Amino acid sequence: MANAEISPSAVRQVPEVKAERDIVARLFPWVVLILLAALVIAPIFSLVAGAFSLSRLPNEFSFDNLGLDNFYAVWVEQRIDRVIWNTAIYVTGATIFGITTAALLAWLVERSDMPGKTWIYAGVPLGIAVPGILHAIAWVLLLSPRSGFVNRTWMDLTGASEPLVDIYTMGGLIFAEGLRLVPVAFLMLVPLMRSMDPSLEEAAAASGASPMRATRRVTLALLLPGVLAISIFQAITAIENFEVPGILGMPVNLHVFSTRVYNLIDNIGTIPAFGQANAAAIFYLAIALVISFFYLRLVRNSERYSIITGKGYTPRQVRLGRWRKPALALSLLFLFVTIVLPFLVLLYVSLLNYLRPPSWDAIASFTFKNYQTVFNQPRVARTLFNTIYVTLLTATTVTIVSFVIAYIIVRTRFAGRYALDMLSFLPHSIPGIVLGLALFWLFMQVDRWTGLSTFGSIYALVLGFTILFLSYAVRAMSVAMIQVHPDLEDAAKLSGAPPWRIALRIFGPLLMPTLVGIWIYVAMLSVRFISLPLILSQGGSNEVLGVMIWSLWDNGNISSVGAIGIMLLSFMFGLALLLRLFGFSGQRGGAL
Amino acid sequence: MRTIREDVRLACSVAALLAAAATTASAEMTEEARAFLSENGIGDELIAQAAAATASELDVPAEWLEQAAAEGAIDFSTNDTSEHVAEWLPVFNARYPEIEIIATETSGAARAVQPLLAYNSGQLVRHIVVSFEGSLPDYLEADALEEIDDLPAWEGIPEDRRAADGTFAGMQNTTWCLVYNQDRVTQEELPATWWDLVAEDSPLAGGRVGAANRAQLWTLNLWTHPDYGPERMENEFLPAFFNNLQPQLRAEGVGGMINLPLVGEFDVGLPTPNDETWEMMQTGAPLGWHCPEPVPQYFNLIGMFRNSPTHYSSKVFINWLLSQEGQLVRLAAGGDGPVHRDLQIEGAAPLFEAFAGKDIALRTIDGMVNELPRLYEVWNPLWAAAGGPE
Repeated sequence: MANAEISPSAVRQVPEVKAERDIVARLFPWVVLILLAALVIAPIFSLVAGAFSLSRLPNEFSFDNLGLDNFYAVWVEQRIDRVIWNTAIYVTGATIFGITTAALLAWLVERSDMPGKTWIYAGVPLGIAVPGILHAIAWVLLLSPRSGFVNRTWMDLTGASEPLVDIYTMGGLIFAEGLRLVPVAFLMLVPLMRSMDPSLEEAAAASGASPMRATRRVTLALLLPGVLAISIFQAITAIENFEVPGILGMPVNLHVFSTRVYNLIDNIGTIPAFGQANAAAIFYLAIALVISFFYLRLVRNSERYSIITGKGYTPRQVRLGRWRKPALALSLLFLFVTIVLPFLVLLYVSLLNYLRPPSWDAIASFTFKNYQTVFNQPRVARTLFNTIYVTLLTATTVTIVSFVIAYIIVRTRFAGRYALDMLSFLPHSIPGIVLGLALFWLFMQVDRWTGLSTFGSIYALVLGFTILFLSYAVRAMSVAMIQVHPDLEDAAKLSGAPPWRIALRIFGPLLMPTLVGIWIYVAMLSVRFISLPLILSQGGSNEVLGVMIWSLWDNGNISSVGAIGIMLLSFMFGLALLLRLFGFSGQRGGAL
Repeated sequence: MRTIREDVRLACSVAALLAAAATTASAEMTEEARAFLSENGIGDELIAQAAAATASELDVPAEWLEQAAAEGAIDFSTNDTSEHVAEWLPVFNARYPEIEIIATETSGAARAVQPLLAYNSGQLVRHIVVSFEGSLPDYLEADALEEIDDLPAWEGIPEDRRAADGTFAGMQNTTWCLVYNQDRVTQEELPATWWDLVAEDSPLAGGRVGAANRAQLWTLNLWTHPDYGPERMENEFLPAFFNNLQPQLRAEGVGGMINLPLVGEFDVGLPTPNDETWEMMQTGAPLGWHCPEPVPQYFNLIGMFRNSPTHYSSKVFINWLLSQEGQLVRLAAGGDGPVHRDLQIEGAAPLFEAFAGKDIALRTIDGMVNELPRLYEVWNPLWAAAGGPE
């Protein structure tokens, strides 16, 4: 009798619903692919078109007025060849310094019997929380040649006329950027070190090789391909960084690509040469794309050099002997220099009545005036609101979109999934300043033709950040999704569950640590990143914290920078702690 | 005995007065403004003068206020620090609670250039701009600014400090001189004139002076001064500035020029404004401020974009800024020197004693429109050749 209760129309609807669902399932990946292509390609197209534009202003762009003049001007007048050379030295130096430091720390934590490893393991990733701009500002306050606290103390104590270290040099740039690269490189290297088959090292030991020799000849040789891939990944990060060269290089005309492009459009008086900025950005983008191409090739061929097998084992630990304590001291020094020192320097200037070198008098005059001043400013409240709004929206959008893209790539037989994978990775090769410029041109044209107000809106930043951070998120999500066995999904499908319910009831709970991890990591990137908002931020409606700090520093309001910097750092350390507690559990690093 | 015509005229006058009373907003100095001025050291006499002027200067049409109440927040790009804005904005809002202001301290291209580009693309990212002197020719070419000469406070601005076509006006007077670290520079080393500063035997030569790339703030004044002039500036003064004085050419803005002498980055900062320097000196910082003659002085400009969605509220706001009440409130909040013709009196500018009685080199509107591009043509190559940050 139960069957009799089902109406005939309902019976007819079942295959109709299924057919509708099939159509949606077939069309949906195409829609995603087309939307992603539009998101990534439209800004690049506008960038390229702008580079050929001979009009004075972006809003005067016309296909009838194109030429190569901007490229000529950039190459001949702007001496872009020098910028290429500077960028090459800076990126190579910072990558080598950063990877070497990270590898040493990862090796000490994973493969040696250094005491206090847990603290170092927990402490190094905290460096991700320090925004590049604050990191660079702290180094200026310490190592500026004439007034840096370290140099000033050195000159006062010794009577020397020359500073100990000048941070406004290529060496300074490499040092500061190299240190900034360490935390992420460390997180990528730790799983590599942990998963190595120890039998090879044991074989070396059995053949009479000393522990150090075995490490050098076997461990390092085995790690080399992985380290190379991580190095290229880090080189891409270094090449797109703006904050460090912006603070340390621009004041002395030491330009790399990111600062040169910004410099071309940041003109206080006359209308900037926008077309030239685009032409320079094209060179910049081309170099970043070439490096990304090599990275992808290396990663694709990585199985050839596979050293990680399915076996479970505990890697052998190298005994450091009398080097145990110096190794710990070195690791602690790293934590002090990259995390504690920037915090202390900013804290110091934030408590000063007026800027002055450290002394007992200065300490005796400490005041919370700068904090009170900051709290009383409507601009700070508004900027904080904008920052939180952009961060929440970006992190949520990126997490959802990356989930959808990763699902199509990993879980479907969609014909365009390779293209989808490539398109989602492409933004990693687009430096923030280039994407900012590209979106600037795009928004100008969109506003001109539609009458909308996209330029200067808060959603302009959300869109830019979503494009930029998608590659990180899709990679991490794909890795996590591969680990979920398809049986669970198949069982749900057989039970008639629609895709949204499968996502909510199966993937949601299983991938929760990854989802949370991606969300927090993207939130941290959204707060840290300033190159894109520097171009797209236009005052009260979409000014964010990073831009405000840049503007205050540019104006010389150093104490306010200190007060806001301390609050920002505290917030970022909180996020980093949340990431450690709730994000990527079970993956133990390496996902990003 | 009055004629009928006289009666009609009288009746018309009364009607006109009644109509005027009905269509304008009565204005007296608010208690908040009075208390704020008094608490921040403005003398009773000045307060009384400003209070007496509010009836006419703040007598904006009631229609403006009605329309303003229906408009959104004004996006106001300013060179004022956020701390100062936080002080004077509540005083403005006490009078006009229905008008919301979003003030953003901006520098570089974000202050004037990018809003103009956006305007040229058909949209507004700011409604009111200030300190756009460096881009004034571009603003005029784009015809981007709305006429504001119907503001009741317009007449208070001296004619030589407002646009003849009524599109912009001076908002505050600023005097630009040298800041120095009192522990490192003696009184004898301070130059009496700008020629002394760049002389071959200048005691401040060889990197003791830090200079920001802001030619428009002080050299333009000399460029149009009879004792200097374009020719001497190009052939004598500016080459001597770079070659004899050999200043440190700095990327930092004006705030950096004031802060950096305190930590020994350089001994003397150039150019530095009287208001911000005075404020820093109030903290006990060992700074001095010295004006070689002729003393560069100018008025920061204010204007509003055409087709603004906050047309009426922007007019009400600018009117208040130009009125004696607004001018004194901003003086009390951050030392911004009044440009109002009735406030050019001793004590109405910070560090007044440093330039009182000296020859003033005023930056003129003609100088900004016609001479600034010529100055840049000379200054920029010299700056670049000397290795200055681009």
